[in-house]
Amino acid sequence: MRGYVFRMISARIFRMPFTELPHTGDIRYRVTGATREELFADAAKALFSTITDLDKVEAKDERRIEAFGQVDEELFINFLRKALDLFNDDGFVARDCRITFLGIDGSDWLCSIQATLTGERFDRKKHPYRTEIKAVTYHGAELKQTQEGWKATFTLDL
Amino acid sequence: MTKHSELAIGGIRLVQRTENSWEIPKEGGMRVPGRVYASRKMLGDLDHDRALEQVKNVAYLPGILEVSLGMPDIHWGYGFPIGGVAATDIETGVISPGGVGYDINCGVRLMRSNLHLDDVKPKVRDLVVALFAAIPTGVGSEGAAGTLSIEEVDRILNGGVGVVIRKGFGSPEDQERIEQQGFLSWADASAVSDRAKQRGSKQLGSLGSGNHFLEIQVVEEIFDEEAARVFSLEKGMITVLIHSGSRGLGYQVCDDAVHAFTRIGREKYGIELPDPELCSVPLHSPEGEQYWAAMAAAAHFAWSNRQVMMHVVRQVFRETLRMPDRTLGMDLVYDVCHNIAKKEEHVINGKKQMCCVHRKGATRACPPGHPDLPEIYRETGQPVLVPGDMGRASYVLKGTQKAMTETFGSCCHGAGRVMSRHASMRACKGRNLRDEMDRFGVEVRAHGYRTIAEEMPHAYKDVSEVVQVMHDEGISLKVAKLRPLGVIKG
Repeated sequence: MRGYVFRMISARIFRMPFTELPHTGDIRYRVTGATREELFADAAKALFSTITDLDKVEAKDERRIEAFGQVDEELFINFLRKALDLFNDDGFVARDCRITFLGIDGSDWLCSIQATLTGERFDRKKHPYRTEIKAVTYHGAELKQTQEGWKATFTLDL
Repeated sequence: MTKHSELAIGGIRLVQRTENSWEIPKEGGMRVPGRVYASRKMLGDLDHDRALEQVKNVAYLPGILEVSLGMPDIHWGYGFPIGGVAATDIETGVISPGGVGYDINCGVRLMRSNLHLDDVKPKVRDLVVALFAAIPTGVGSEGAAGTLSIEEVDRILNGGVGVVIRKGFGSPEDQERIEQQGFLSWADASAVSDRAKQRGSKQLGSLGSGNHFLEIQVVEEIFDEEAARVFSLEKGMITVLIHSGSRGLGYQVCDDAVHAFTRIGREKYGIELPDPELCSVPLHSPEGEQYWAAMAAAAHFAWSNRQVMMHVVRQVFRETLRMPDRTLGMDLVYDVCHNIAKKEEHVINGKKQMCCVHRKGATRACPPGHPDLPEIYRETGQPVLVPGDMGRASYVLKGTQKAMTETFGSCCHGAGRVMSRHASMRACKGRNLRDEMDRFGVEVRAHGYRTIAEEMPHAYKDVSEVVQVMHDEGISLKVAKLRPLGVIKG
């Protein structure tokens, strides 16, 4: 009980933007955010933290990405796919992500997102090695509003 | 006959059909029933997992034939379960990229040798260190074959493993011991995106990370002397097993297709499925045909990748042990794919017909006399390679006719995870993993503590139990057991 209370209090004080959920084969994250923008940004951080330790990544450079989707979940996954492309194309790892535009109007029409990610090129000498991500999957992707804000889950194929 | 029992695992009803196989009755939108191969004990592992639900979901695929299958190493994947097999009608059925997986033609190849345990034991550490230095592993690693031009990538994508063999990576004799001789005639490089080719151009001859590995082993036990002789294996022999796939090129081909099909499958072809990762299009559709050609091209890349790594293994053994190739005798036993879809002939409702067999974490298991087998294995049946975890064992089995009648000629592909990576990490807290692996007698090299922690033997089912299920059900029969001595990982 004491452990539970401690976790609740510490989760309030030190906001835990993402947690790992059990999944036998791959990796599954739950992300929370006060706003949708915060949620998307935290999900990008969860993605890059799978590859390396973000505390060791410096904000030397920035990259911009843009993604589209017809429904929220699709936009969310496509956004993460674009973020992962940054690593796959030229080894860029991001420590931070700022959403510069989020066009979701609730209608069943194209939504879009633009973001700026700051970080640097992955360097095996400097960045601790974690794992390679094969892909961001659509499996069990969820995005919804809760009383505290926004919550999402997604699964990465490792 | 004893009365067969019924069970409910994670809310899913299972009806026992044989000692080690269970039917999931058809219900809701399922077009066919499901079937899982597992001992009663192993079913318990599936309680906290969604693999059985995924077997049911696969049964929704339009054109699926007879049954949606789960092998004994089954576990929770995305869309399809890992360890899933599904055949669809070639005329009216669909192709599902998620039924092949992101790592297209992820597979295993086994090399034998003339070396015996006594010759190599004192040198295992040197060999592992040299292999770890020579074979790129892990995040951001570039392949042993250097950077290729897009034209060179195209040549591999169109031409298959023969292209790299002709470049000097290995010998022509290797080629006949590769599933389909490492060549799928319908592969087409022009169906593959530029981004996929770009990713592949730097990664030919690299292992990757996660559960991919390269292992030095010893043949610990022979179960079938005759088949072992044909596979040129004997007790005490040193073998090398390589487990890897198509690297970023294959992941991108799958990602491109899944992204396109989630929308097109639903809107253009009206295919509604319970999980977006199952997204499918008709095999006979422009989109289906493009994926089919791209998947085969990615399979070529995977075979070439394993071929280049095998060539490096031969070099490392030659230099470290200072022995010529003839003395080493490091020949390829066989190379199997375990993430692929293929058009094959099977008997459905008593009639021969062509089907598209999706194997997502399952190995083909051709019986004796099958026309797809190379001459040397025509009488024994196909060598079925089943790698286990890095501490315990791997197996070589042989395909049977029973597999043709029951599982579309398929067998399990590995041990199968029981513990998530996270749980495995947690279970390792406060333990000295290097010491533990030493106690297993296995020399391990990996880039991070984390990889070792996530891949510890406790995270996997016991491969011996998995293989026993296939053996007892007659799907594939045990030939040899291999014990790891040294392993490199990502």
